[in-house]
Order: sequence, then C-alpha cells, then structure tokens
Amino acid sequence: MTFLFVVPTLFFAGFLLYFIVWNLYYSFLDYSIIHAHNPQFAGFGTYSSVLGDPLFVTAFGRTILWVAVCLAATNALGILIASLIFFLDNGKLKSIYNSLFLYPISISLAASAVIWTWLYNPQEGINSVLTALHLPAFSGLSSPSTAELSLIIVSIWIYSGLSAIFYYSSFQGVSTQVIESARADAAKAHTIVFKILLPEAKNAFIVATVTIFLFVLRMFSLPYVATGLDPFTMTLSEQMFNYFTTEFFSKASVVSIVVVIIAAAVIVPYALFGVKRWISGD
Amino acid sequence: MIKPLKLAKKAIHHAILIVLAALWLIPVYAMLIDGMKSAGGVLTTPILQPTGLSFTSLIEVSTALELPIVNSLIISVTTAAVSTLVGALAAFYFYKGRSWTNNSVFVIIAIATFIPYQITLVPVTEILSTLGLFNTYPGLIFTFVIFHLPGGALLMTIFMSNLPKSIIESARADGAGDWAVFSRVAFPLTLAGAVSTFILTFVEVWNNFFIPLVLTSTPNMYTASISLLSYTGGYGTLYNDSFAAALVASLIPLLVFVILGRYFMRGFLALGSGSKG
Repeated sequence: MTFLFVVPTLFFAGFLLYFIVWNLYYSFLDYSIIHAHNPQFAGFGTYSSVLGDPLFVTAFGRTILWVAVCLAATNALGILIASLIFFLDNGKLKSIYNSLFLYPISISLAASAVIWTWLYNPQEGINSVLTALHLPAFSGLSSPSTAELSLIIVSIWIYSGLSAIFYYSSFQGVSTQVIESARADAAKAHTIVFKILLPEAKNAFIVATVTIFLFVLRMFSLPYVATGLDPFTMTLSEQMFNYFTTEFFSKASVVSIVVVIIAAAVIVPYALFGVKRWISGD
Repeated sequence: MIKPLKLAKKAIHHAILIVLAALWLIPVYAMLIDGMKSAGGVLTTPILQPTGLSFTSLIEVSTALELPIVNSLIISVTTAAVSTLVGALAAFYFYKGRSWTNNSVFVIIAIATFIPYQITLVPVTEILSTLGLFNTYPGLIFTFVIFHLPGGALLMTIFMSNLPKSIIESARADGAGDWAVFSRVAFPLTLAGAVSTFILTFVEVWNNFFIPLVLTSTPNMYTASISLLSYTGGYGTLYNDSFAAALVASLIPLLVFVILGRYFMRGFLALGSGSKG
C-alpha cells in the first residue's frame, strides 16, 4: 500500500517521459509552418537539415565552449574561494563569505542580464572606471568578438559560489587532526590545499561539475535577455526556441533530442552514482 | 621575525577575500545606487558613481511590476508547496523499504530531476493549448510541478533518510498505519528539510524565465522575470529604470536568501553531498 505514496510523483514524472517520447516522434516528421496540417514521416530528413544548418552548428559549438570555459573557471574559482574561506579563523565570517559568493544564484538570470548589460555599457559602465584609470576599454556586448566572453563571465559570477560551497563542505569533512599536524610541520597553505584537501574533494568536483554543466547546457535567458536572438551569442536552447517561434516544430524537437542525449549522458551515470549517497542514511 | 610575517600573510589572505567579495557585490551595489538615481543623476554620472537619492524610478517600476509580482508569488508558492508535500509522500515510500522496484523508481525520479526543462517546448505548448490551459495559472503551475516535483521528491528523500529507522518502528509497534506514521512522525521530523525544499523550489520557479515566456501570451499573465524584458535598455532609455526593475523583480528571492540562506544552502548541499551534507 505504501506504493500509493509515490503515485502522484510518478504521475507527473510520467509527463516528462511522455514529452521526451513526443519529441522523439516529432523529430522524425517534417512538422512546420509549411506542413502544418499533414506532417509527413521524414526519417532522418529533419535531423540532417538541422545538423546542416550553420546556425545550429554554431549554437552547438558555442554552448559546448561555454560549458567548458565556465566549468574550468567555476571549479578553479570555487577551489580558490573555498580554500580562502576554509583557512579563516572566524566561524561567523566563514558563513558570511559563503553566502556572499552564493547570492548571485538567488537572482534570476533575466535580472542578471539586465544588470550586466548596463555594466558592460561602453560609456556608462565598467568602462568609465577603466578609462579613468587609463586602462584599455572592454567592448563587452557591443562587439561580436567579446559578446560571448562577456556572457560567460556573467555565468562564472553566478555559479562560482555554488562550486565553492560544494568544495568548502568537502574540506570540512577532512579530519582537523591531519590538517593540524601538517601545520605543525610548517606546511604551506597551498600544500595543505593540494596535498590534503583536494584529494578528499573528488565528490565536490563531480557534483559542482555536473550541476553547473546542466545549468549551462540549458542556458537561455541570460543571452536572450541581454542580446535577444543574436547569431553571435545564440545557444542551443535559443536555437530551439528560434525554430519554435518560426514554426519549424520538428526542427525544435530535433534540438530537444540533441539536448536530451547530451544531458542523459551525464545525468544517468550521475543518478546511478548518487543513489547510494543520497539515501545511505542510518 | 615570525610574527610580522604571519601578520602580513593574514593581511594578504583577508585582502584577497575582500577584493573578491567587492567584485562579487558590484551588481548589487549598482542595483542599489542606480535604482535610486534621479533622471538628472543618470545623465550626469556613470553607473558606478553614486549621487543623490530619488525614489521616483523605484516607485514607478514597483507600480508597473505589481501584477507580475503577484503572478510570480501565486505560481511559485503553489508549485513549491505541491513539490514539497507531494515530494515528501514519495520520500516516505523510498524511506520505508529498500527493494529492487524501490531503487529503480528512485533512479527514475533522480533522472527526472535533472532533465533540462527546455525540451518540453513543443509538446507542453500543444498539450496546454488542447486542454485550454495555455496562458493560465493552472497551466503554468501544472508545467512547473512536472519539473519541480521530482526534485522535491529527491530532496525530501535525502532529508528523510537521516531519520533513524527506530523511530518509525516504534510508531508502527504502537499500531500506527502508514499515513499516521507519515503525518505524525516522519513529516514533522523532516520539517527543516521541507523548508529547504520549499525555498529552493520557490526561488527556482520565481526566477524561471523560459516557461512563462513560452506559456503566457498576455501581459496580465506575465511573471516578474518576464516583465524585465521591457527594461533591458537600449537607445533612449535611462538606466535607473533598468536597475530599479532588476531590484524590484529580485527583491523577494534576495530577501529569502538573506533571511533563510541557511536552508537554501542546505538544500544545495544535500543535492550534492547527500544526506550528511
């Protein structure tokens, strides 16, 4: 009878499965504004036209690049921030800093986009400070060559604090005795970080990487609000939305399937790896 | 010799943290000083330079965003409550027994938690249009629950797995049925976890942009994050309105974060490090 407890959740989770199957089915049709009333079976036809669309190819490459840069930076900054906080003596200060670096995640990507669009403004924003200091100006969102980098920086600002709390909590699990004795041997702080703390933080690395990977893979509102559907910043999710608003529904489904495949390659092993950890209570 | 060196090291340690923290706070600083700048101040000072206080922009934007904020509240509170409570029911099922079916269902829920919601774009629009739920509260809440209930169930399972099994067994020995054990023992004892689950879901739904962008079509259904589209700036707009709008639209999740940050962080850590996190 206890099974009844999980039925409502399975009912809603079932819709997710249904959506994926639905997308899979439509991705093999040619459903679009041109064939709105009698979509035909197209086999891999829609797939090959999407995979051959330069807009899709760039959006795909850009999203992967975004994921890679953001993961490298948020892991590095996460480790740096977590270590700096870990070596503070004051407990109150530790929790203040932890929250301080995490707060951007509580603000919507849309609001962050509005704020940073102005901070990147060529005359009014950060550039006004750079000019005053006689430093070279940063073209930010206004130049195609720096637009993507500018948005990646915003995502690093958003997610580094998250990565930091994962590392910080791993560090706290390391026995204080080991750290104290290393200190007694006059070990340098970076030696303690690299030789003692980081080897114990494998779990933090996996969790931070998977979580931020999934956040960036579905990146939509930050570039959408900051630049609109701009070919120089468009991500996979935006390209999907682009097909959808121009009523190439089957093409949008193809992009969905591509995203599901990439996500599943990470989520499935992660969930299997997580089961033991998540419910290994007493 | 050793002492001054130690002091200098300590000073550098703090200085690095302070510089990083200051960089991290620039956007909030800009929101606060520029959301309260007068039109004159906007024309004479750059974004990072403060000038006299004016509430004109903040009041104007608050009035314009009143309905979207109410919409966001209705949708996020309902979704968070459903995801937490119904998720707790599922958690109780996972908590009670370890079996092959039990574990498989749990893996499905865990996978569902992390599926990117964008992939529903086409099917969800079609389903809601067929059901006549497009551009309505029930339609939005239904869609959000599909995406957040698995996460709610996962989080509540993590928190519930911390409960010693003996508590449940003694309640059962007293002749209590499943429902009684859940509602009188298991759920009350995971209340702190429920608060974390609720807050995390609330903030995520509040900040979601994509789903209301796709599923709403008239301004009376817009949420706070969607309304920000009218304040993105561009030629001829003054930046004080943009910052005021970002501030007004983020105020509730920011306050939740500042006041209940502990629970917020515990939610993320639980997802990451498991029940002991």
